[in-house]
Amino acid sequence: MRRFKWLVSFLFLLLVFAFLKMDTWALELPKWFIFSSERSLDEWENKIFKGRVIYEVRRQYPESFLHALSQGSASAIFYRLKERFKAEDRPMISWKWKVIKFPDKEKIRTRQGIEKDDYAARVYVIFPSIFFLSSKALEYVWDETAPEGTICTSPYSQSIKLIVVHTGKDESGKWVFEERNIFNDYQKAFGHKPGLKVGAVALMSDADNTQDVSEAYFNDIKVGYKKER
Amino acid sequence: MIRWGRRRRYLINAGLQWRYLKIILVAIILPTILFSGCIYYLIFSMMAEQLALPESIAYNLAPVLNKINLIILFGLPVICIVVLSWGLLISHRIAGPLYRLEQDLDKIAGGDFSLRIRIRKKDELGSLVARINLLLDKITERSQ
Repeated sequence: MRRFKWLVSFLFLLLVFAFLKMDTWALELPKWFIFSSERSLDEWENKIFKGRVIYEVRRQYPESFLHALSQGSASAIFYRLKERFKAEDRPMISWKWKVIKFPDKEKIRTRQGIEKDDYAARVYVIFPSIFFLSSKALEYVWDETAPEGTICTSPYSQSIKLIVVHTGKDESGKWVFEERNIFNDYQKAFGHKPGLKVGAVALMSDADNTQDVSEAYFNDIKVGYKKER
Repeated sequence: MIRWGRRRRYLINAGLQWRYLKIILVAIILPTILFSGCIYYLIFSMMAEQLALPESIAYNLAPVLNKINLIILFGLPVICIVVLSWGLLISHRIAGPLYRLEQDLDKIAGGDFSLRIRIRKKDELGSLVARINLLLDKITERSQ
């Protein structure tokens, strides 16, 4: 009888845990980031690549947003999703961004590979792998010159693909809304379906290679949802 | 026990020695590879977790990993050769005296009681050989 009670208690706890976990999943996806206060950045980690980019929440009543300022530096803010998801099931990501200052790539003579790898605004979708070198990443960038739709491989790794989703200075200083299908973009970039789940998103503005200044704003990032028809 | 010269043949009883070599190889190289592999993975996965940015991992970790892989690629065969040579020497210290014991005991059984078994100082089975020689001394004394 006592054993039976233990079993019932254990099953009850298991059910409570499952219920709570389901609740977490339900809350987690789609994940929507609005930068309403400084606390909005609490769950984001600063990941430094070369020097520190200043990320802060700025307010211009009635709106608030994330401001990124790089002065010859490259660092990102990184959000680890609590529950990874299949890009096939929840393929959409959307965000708003505004570029104020592009890094001056004309200063770089060779304009090749790593020296060219500076962008005023990047949005990362990361597919982490247990073998970290097998992790994949899609980077949506706003570039000054490369035509929209350009897909290229990062000079750092074959596992990182850059997709130019916005080009030119015409709309700099204005908020631009972007919506992308991660699943389709991954297939176009890598030539096959994603074998890994989406596990993190990151934002970056960098000007480390050009040793210039880049400045951008981000807001309303929504990830892990299906497109409503 | 009588001192003897340098070894001329290192593989005296291939079957026995190979059994020892296999034990040495498995006992030394396998756990080393397993544990260093685990530590290697743990350290690098922790670093990758910290770096997080794909570019940062590719820029900072990948070259270090490549260097380590290169060291392992060239270092592991050297380690294997050293361990095998050492194993061969160790196994010879057992297989050598055993072989000598068999040969000399055959001669003694053939009637040559004046023969004394000689093995190298560092070889195993030294005390056994000493006792057999003592036994032979006693037998010779009695027969005289």
